[in-house]
Amino acid sequence: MKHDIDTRIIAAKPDEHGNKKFVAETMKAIKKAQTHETFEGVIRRTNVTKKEHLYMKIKHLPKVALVALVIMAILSTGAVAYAAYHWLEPKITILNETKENDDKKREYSVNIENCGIVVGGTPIGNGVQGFEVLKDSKLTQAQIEKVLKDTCVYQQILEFSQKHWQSDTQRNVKKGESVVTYGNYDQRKYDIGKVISIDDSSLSIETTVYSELPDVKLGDTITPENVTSTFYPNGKKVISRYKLATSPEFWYHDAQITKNNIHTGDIISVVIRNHNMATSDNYMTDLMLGDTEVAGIIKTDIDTAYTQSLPFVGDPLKAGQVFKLVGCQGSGQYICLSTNSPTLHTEAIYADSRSREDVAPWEKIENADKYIRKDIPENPTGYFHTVEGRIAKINGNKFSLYSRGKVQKITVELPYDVLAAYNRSHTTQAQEGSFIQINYLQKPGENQTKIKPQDINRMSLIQYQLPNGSYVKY
Amino acid sequence: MKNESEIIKDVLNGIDRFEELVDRYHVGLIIHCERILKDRDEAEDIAQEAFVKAYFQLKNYNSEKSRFSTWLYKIATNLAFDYLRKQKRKMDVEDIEALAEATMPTYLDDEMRRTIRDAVESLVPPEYRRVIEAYYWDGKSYQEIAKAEGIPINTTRTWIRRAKQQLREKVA
Repeated sequence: MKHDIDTRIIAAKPDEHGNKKFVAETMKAIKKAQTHETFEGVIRRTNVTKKEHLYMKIKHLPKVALVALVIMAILSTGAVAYAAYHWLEPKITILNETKENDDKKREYSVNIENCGIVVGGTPIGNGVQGFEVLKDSKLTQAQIEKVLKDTCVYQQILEFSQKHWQSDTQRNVKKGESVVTYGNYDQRKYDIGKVISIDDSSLSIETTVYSELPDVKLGDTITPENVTSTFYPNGKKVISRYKLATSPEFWYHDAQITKNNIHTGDIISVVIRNHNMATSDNYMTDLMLGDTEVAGIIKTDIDTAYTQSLPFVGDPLKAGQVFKLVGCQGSGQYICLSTNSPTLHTEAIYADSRSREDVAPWEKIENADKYIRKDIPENPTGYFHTVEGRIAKINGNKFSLYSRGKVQKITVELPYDVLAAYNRSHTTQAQEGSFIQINYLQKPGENQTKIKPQDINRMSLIQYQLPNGSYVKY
Repeated sequence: MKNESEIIKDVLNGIDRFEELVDRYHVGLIIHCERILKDRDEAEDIAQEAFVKAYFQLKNYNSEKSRFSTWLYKIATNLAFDYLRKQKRKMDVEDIEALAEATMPTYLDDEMRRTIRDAVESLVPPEYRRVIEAYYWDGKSYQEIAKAEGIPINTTRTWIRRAKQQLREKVA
């Protein structure tokens, strides 16, 4: 077999070479993990500035505090379980429509009531919210209301599920010849689909997927065929068969029902529990020999995703056409687009995925590392803000951008002609009309409409990508 | 080349030899992850996580079903995929297609290993040798190489690409 040159160079590595620091750190992590119940906390994490996860925030707490936190969490979540849940019909009212905003798109002001709040997700939220619809969208107001309502219904279901089916306690499970101890973390998955069949031990549902990744399992051979994701522009019907738990619960709105109330053709939400080793990261689960079972089935009123009653539902190229307008991070007076567009298919497709390409290689700035400015202290005087908008005009090492929602024009000054330097080496061009996101330091009292070079922490081109790999055109 | 199955057997018997496997595979695995994740720091995170996971799951590794490297790369691939899914990031299909065979160290007999090393040694200009050694043998990132050589990152990429072309011709 002829191997690529990379393979052969790597294989020819003399023993004295190697990233000794990486090897040492890895061995240190393994040794440390041997004394921990889980190894999650000992894995190296990049030192670039990243959003801090809850886990990262709590992992430095003293053990006693951590135990207390866990106990408090168990007690509190136990207390707010189903007793606090009451089904309320989501109510969606479009208040007004802006005929055409700065980006030549329709913008809607919508009042939302009784939308579920999903833990860890990006909910639509309640109250008056802004949404934007792509300019080639054929959605009517009624259709927009319908998709928002169904999204809210699904979020209510998720909210209920997250509160009701709580973490499992530690237990031992026999797997083949070994007994595996599972931690108290319970990875839940939610699937929604049309009932094909249900009996005492199993459930089959039909779902529509728009893209899928192969289920590569331990021991499989990696080939290009089984690692390539596949897109189905018109959706693909998939039958998923699940094992039912010993005593699954059945619900409709806020009432418990029985299995007999679930019929073929019903659209149900399924709560699937996957018992794992104690870890807080989802991506740790699939190799952890977890056993999967359906713990709960919730009958829904949702039909749009499956009856194809809305024109865009079966077409992922259009599924991402409704975007929520939100305040920019730390800069609420500006409007950014939410990364999660309201769609029922956020788990299945990448319609709302966002491509970020860092624009500014700060090569000419001392101590700059990759695209992150390390010379800006982590705890500076002032706050980091993020603004995203369309480049209005480029003039050498300066450019201006309009924040979303025609709120404000912002001038950005760069240390040199960064955009031109970027454009010389990239296919995607940073040009007038491009969307750009800037994370910058804003000191108290400074003019918010002028961003200076020394305060720019990160600057990225943003593109909203569709499941077929193309980009949303603005 | 040390006998891999003996190392694995020793590790399973409690003998501290896992580092030899890390040393053997880490450079390729980091590059492999980098090609999926498009980020060096994240790639090193995932690669390390894969080694840690492999260590604790080693008892489940079946040498009759796959090579250790295949198994290890599978763990890393799964972790990287899940990481991307979690972040709702899109994968670059072209790169994923190339990843399987591109970075997994293959078995080279002594003669071929010597041939490759000699070819690297004879690269001209000498900067080409330095960047190849740094990237493929020392596990340095483009950023680190660029800094060490005092050149832009894109120049680093260019040098590596040209050096690889020379190597292809030398060892064809």
